[in-house]
Amino acid sequence: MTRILLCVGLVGCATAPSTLDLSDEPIDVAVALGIDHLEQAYSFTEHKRIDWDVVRDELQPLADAASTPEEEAHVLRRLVPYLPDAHVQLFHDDGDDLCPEARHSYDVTLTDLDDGRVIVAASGGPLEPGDTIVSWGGQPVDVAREGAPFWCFPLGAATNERRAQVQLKLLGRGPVGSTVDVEVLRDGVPRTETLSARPDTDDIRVALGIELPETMVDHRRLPSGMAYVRVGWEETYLAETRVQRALVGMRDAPGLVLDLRDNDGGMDMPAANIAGMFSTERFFYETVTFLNHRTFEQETIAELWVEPQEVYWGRPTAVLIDADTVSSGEGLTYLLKKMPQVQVFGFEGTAASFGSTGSGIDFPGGWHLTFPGGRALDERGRILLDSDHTLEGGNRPDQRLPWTEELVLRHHAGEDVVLEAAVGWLKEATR
Amino acid sequence: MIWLVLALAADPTDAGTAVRSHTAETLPAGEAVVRWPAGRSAVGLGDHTDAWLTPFDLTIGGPRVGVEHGGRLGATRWSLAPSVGAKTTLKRASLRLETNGSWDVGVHQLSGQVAVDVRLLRQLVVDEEVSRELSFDRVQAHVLGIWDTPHSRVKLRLPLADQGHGLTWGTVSAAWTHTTGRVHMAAGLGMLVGRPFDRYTLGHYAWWFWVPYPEVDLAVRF
Repeated sequence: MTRILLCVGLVGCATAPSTLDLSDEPIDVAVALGIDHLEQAYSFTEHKRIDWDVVRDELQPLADAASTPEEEAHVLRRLVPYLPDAHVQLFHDDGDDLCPEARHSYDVTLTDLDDGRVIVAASGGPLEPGDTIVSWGGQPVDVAREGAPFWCFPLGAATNERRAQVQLKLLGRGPVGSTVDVEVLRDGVPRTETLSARPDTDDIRVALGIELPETMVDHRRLPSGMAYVRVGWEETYLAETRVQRALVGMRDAPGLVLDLRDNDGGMDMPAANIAGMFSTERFFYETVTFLNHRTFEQETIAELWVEPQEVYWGRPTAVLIDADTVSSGEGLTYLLKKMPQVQVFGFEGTAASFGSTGSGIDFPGGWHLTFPGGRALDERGRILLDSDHTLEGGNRPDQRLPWTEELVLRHHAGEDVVLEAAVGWLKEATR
Repeated sequence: MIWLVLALAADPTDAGTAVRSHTAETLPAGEAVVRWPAGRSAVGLGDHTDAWLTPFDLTIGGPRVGVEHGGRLGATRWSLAPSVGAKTTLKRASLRLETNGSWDVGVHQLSGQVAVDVRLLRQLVVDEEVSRELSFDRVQAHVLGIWDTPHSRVKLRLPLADQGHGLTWGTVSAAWTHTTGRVHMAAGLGMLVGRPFDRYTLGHYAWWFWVPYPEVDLAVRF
């Protein structure tokens, strides 16, 4: 989940990502120095109104008292929620491991609906899809979700939407051997079930539904005759080459679905060049700034423009996004939203995390924290796409699918309702 | 490798097809020069005209062919070298005109060049109808100054305009040179300084670069 800056050789690389090595320090010193470093180096302290003194007051006593690897890990995990940014990630040398509070699964997937209910979207236990959650562990579900171990999620959650999703993901997990009583309404009839936490996976990404795309770019022809191109990430220029080839190969299609769901980001120039395939005009993209590690000032290192490419796709185009569309995937969405032939579809907005990442801190015990040290600015010099202190930001769908019970259940049953909506619009637009 | 690519991309003109490159000197009729690694090989068509080929011009991403026509006024030589290049995919084309002048001052020679490169984009337009359209893509203009002695060469190149930017970077190089009857060699070091602006080498990243690069030129005349 990166938005990479290309720092090439004999240049002023003080203005570039760097990693602070605190791995040999005791945990209390490492936490103190790490927070000091984040206060100086994290790009969005003011934008997100992070009060680092509050972070110190919360974490330093925990760090001072930590005496076991598990306690040290807990302190570091508690740091992540203070950085509401999907570019912030805590990971371990031995692979991401689940925290004890979310080790096992209650085998239930919960989701919010637009009408305010929380329902069961999928379940392998006694609960059934469509059940409305009334209480969880004896507490109203809205209270219970606030008590979910949010620190078990290894990525920052940059939006209110994402934060709510993470809470429900973690509510569906518990410590080894735990049980929870859940009161639901099924067909209007209240009932209580007891869920037992069971082992499911040791892979934190699988456990917490942090999806990663399998391929950089793939494409196919949909049964409707529309072209379909999925961009999983754009870390090399191969991404634009493959998108271009796909568009050329399917140039007789009346419309295009460009699927950016789960797009993991990459480099900005390939994203700009992909956007250039949808524009006949050259236009401004962003100014990139990065922290100068000598002066601790943000300095401009790049100005990016979108330029027309060798292929121009002017036909109706539906872009699909979700909350896992992050970084340069969000930049690409932002650019495509400017095109008159494009409509963006999704249940939710993008991850609102567009700052240039690659900075990091190595903590003791094999833990690493990555975070953005750079910003993207629009033509007026305003921060682009990253969420602010209200946890609002990113791209919103032009045509948002509502979280209704029917759509949610179909979505979790494996139907691609977002793609279905997009194809429906394309059929109308190309009629 | 990226340094070499960067430097070559930053140093796109290479007029002058006689033994020393970049000079306003054409090959006599029937003579030929084969040049390595990145320069242009040429054959004389007349006493004042030759035709040349650059197998792979990095700025366009494909071959470039052109002619050079020159003349002499006392100790001064001049030449014009129009050329056309195309990306190997034929999606981009380049029209370039180089104007060269050289002045002999004793054993020293001063050369100057102004080159204007206009690039065109051949777009596949997938819109209401699929069509192919040629559009203007980019203009680059450079000025180059050279000071040659019998065994050395110093070059300074500055961009006059590139995507609306001018004088944002430059290259300077110094090389040892040696010329026998048929063989010319040059080996030296160059430095690119500034913020080059190119689509595929760096994107538009705007660091201030200090990039050294090797300068190698081997020409054999037949």
